[in-house]
Amino acid sequence: MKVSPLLDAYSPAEFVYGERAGMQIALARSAPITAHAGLADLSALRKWMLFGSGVPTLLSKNFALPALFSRAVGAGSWVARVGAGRYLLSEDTQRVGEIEEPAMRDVTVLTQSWVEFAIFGAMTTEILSELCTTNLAQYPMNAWIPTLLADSEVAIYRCPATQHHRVVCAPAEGLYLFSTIAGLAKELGGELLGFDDYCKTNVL
Amino acid sequence: MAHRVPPQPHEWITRDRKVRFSFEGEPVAAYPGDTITSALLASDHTLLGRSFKYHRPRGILSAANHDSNVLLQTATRTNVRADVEMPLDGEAYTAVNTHGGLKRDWGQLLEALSPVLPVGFYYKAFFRPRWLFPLWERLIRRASGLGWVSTDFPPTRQATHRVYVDCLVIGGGAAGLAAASALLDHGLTVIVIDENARLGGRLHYSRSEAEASRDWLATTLSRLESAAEAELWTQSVAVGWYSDHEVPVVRADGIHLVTARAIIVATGVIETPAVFRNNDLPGVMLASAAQRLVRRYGVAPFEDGIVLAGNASAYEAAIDLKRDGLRITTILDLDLPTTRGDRAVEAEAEGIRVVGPIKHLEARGSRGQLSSVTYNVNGSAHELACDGLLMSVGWAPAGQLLHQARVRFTYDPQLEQVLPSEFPAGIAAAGRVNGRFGLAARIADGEAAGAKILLYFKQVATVVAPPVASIPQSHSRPWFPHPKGKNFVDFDEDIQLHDFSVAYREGFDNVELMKRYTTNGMGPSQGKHSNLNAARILAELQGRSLAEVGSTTARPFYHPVTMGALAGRRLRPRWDSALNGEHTRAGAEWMDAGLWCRPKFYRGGSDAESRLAEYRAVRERLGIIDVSTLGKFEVIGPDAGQLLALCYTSAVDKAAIGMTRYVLMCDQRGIIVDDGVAARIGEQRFYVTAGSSHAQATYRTLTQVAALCRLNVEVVDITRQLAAINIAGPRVRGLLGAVTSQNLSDTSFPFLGVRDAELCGVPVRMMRVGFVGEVGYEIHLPYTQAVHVWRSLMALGAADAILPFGVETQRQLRLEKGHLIVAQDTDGVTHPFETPLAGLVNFKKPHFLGRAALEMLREAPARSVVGFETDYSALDLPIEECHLVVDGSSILGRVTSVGYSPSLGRTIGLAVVTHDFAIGAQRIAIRLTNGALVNARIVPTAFYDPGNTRQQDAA
Repeated sequence: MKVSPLLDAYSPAEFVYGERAGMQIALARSAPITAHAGLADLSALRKWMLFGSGVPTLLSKNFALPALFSRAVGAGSWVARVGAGRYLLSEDTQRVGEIEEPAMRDVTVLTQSWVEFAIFGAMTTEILSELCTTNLAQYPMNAWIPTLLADSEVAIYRCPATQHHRVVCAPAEGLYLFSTIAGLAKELGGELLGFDDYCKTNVL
Repeated sequence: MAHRVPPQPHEWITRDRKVRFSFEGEPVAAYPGDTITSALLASDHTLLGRSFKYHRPRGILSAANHDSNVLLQTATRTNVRADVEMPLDGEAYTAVNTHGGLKRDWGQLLEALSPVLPVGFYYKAFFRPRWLFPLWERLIRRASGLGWVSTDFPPTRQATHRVYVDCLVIGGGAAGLAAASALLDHGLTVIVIDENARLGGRLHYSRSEAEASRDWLATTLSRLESAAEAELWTQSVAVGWYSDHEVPVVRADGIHLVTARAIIVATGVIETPAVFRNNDLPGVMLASAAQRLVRRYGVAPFEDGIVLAGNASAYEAAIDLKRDGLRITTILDLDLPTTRGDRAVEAEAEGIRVVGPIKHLEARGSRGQLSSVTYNVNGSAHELACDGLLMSVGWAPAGQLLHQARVRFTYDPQLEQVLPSEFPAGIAAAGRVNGRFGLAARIADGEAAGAKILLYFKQVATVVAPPVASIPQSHSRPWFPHPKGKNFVDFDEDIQLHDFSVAYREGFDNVELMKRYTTNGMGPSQGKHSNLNAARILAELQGRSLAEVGSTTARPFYHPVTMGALAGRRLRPRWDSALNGEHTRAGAEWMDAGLWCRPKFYRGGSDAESRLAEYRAVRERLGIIDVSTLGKFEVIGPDAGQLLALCYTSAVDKAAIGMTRYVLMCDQRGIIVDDGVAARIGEQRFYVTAGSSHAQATYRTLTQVAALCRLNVEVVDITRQLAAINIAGPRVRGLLGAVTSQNLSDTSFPFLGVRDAELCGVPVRMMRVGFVGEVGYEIHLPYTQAVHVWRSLMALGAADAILPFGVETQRQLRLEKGHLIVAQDTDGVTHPFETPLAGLVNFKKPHFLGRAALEMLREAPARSVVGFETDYSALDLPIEECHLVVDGSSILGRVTSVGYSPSLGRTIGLAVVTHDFAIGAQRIAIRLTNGALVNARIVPTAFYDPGNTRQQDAA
């Protein structure tokens, strides 16, 4: 079984662990959710990097092809164009573990390990003002924004709800990044949520 | 005698309760809103500090953070700026730079030594006798500096916040507020910042301007405070300008890094002192200081005051202070009072005697306090008793931020002030820094600056700038030479008038050189009160104009910034292997490897015992190591092979599918920069590894070459998305064979082969490569499944006593095989023809990085990497890396790797030596740290299993 790179950020005394899409991940707080602001580990959402001349055809079944450094949202998934001929396809919370691994002629698929987590709630602006080197507000809603967060390379995208962002990064820096932001969030009254907590909450 | 006066209109203090603190052990009571300085003066503490070099008694000068006369110390903080900080209840403050207390400071003795301590004395004195110099050096170092720091101070950590705004207005006086107000209702966000506790600037402390602007100020502030798009920040200091209009603003909670689309600088002017004997006595101050003290804090800093006038505003100040209730007896004018127009008449109508033009001004003191002033007028000498002398002779524009923003300044001969003349896009200036001095002119100029910025944002606006002031606001020569000196130009550094003559005489006659020689402007106030006078003095010495002399370069920071604010929140980025938890549980001793941490070895006894156990596990049974730090790249596309052939020295594109090649990367100079393994996965697909320390640079090279050559290829960096494990030892195939469906025989999976397979149920990429000299497999796998695979292999390998091994053991193992480590056995000038790797350079390829240089380098290598062995073994005095290889007194090279080989029973190593020596040489001499020489034999670098039979074992 896969293990979320962020699992060590969740105390087993405070969270219930479980499996989503084949990954062991923190699912839910043992105690009630109080803050409705904080972070949630979403690394169980599977992702694939796609290359090749056949990619636009493959994606057109479910998406309008996004422009460079933009995202297109489909049914329970999204795709970001992260390079001229490079696309990152991801599940979203509505269809965890349900997306079929893409396969098509003229499409190279790399199954990718990524960390993804959500930052949401009233303290998001302050956290990002301190840790992010980019003015996220200047980008359109569907932007895929490569930037630095707490001195780590990440990509950030915004969610429709206000004060709600998702962060995607490589697993090796995930734990440092998530723990750093979690510490700051706790100072500001936020809390950690599990995967299921996040999916069920109204924060979306 | 300084004292508190009755409540002033709109004063900044509240008199309903007290804040109690101590100063030099004496209790002091303050009101909320007081600064430390105002509270001290209200309690008649007029001796507030000691000067830097001569420890002269000092009182207030500017009361505006434009000097460092009053720097204080507490048990937890240093260099507290008392002029602007409010006292903390219960705090104990002492003056900095004293020995034995402020009043009894024995540093005063230095003033008696001042004839032998002129400016720059440390360049010229104390060198003889030489044996005494270390003592002088210690004494001078101990005497330098102001406050002290202690590691016992509680650490402060302040966050840095990023803020984005359309227009940043720096300065909250009349001009700044007018500018900000002009920007409202145009859909632009605005932030106004000011270093004072309240907005309004001079409108608060100039009585006449306060009365004239009361309604306007109230209306404007109300409009700004209620505007959703405007923010007003007080006690906030813009400390520099950086490209793209990035301005760090220091506030109580840390640095706010403001990025603005446009900036308006309305920072005003800084009052400058006159230079005369004893102008630094407590009681001598700037006129604006007295105005601030009385109107903001209700403090009269003297009983009997005299105003020294060099401009018309001196008369305004004198009249205002008189009307504020202070006793101003006389105005001493540097020029004829009639040149001030009606001001002199007005002053006399207020009962102030006006005298001028004066000569030979001197302040006199009693017990370290101002007691009288002497001067000449019309040829006769006079002395006036006073305890307050208020200097109002000129203003220096606070244009540092404009200079940093590359605004060009031009000297205005009418105003006798430099003015901003050419602005880069998105910058405007307003108010007195822009040469507009009257209240109406400043307001109009602020509105004009706002209009200019609106135009910059392509909005409709009309810019109507008021004219620049037409009369000089500063006296052109406010100094009085004196044969006994003690007439200070720079109060921070105790720089006197004649110090400039000394500097000029010794050839430091340029404004930049004079600054460095005299240290004028290098103290905590960074020349705010001294630079203008210094430039004027230099102009007179040179016989040139002020415009021709120029000024020194204004650099950040405008005010000193605490280290805590600069540090911000401590971020220590790191990259974690998926297996770090496993290593910790196994007793890893860690080492830093860039942003990674790696196990040096695993604790299983002493250091040596632990490493030996790991070594034996690999050589005799099974060892496993985490190599997740390696660079890993997918190279995919029709031109994938071509890209790798261009970037590496060997014909990588000729590799067969399913095989790997050891590859070398050189830069354009032919210098080795990286090595790795390139595996051909498919016709148009390669998988490439790189050294841990060079991974990011190699990725950059690959992508740059691909872009430059317009290759049809994708390079994907998956370094930090995959884990990697290397498992090696005589029993490895038995172990792996139990957990993979991949056929591990030599025919199905030969040495240097690569296979995508399943291992422990996980899809992995296996490469049969060797670094440690035994049969081994490098397994690359998804990060999220690495723990499962590692635990499975460890569990299964327990029957063979498998051990994890760390970097130190790995290095010893590879040394026995003579494998080089790039950047350890190579350096910044090593090329392949100096190493055993020359065979990796394939000149049949027409183009690859470094080819042209390598063609030349192969003809005449300067050095050679050689292997050596020795029977020498002394645990307490080992041969170490970087020990020199010598021949008599000549240095031939150095040791690059060395270690004891348990298998061979002797110490082996690699060294780089001169090529000419290496030819035919059989022995080298290595010099240890204590100078002893050790002889070693030169041997081929494949020390262990030179035939590679163990690595290619056909099991």
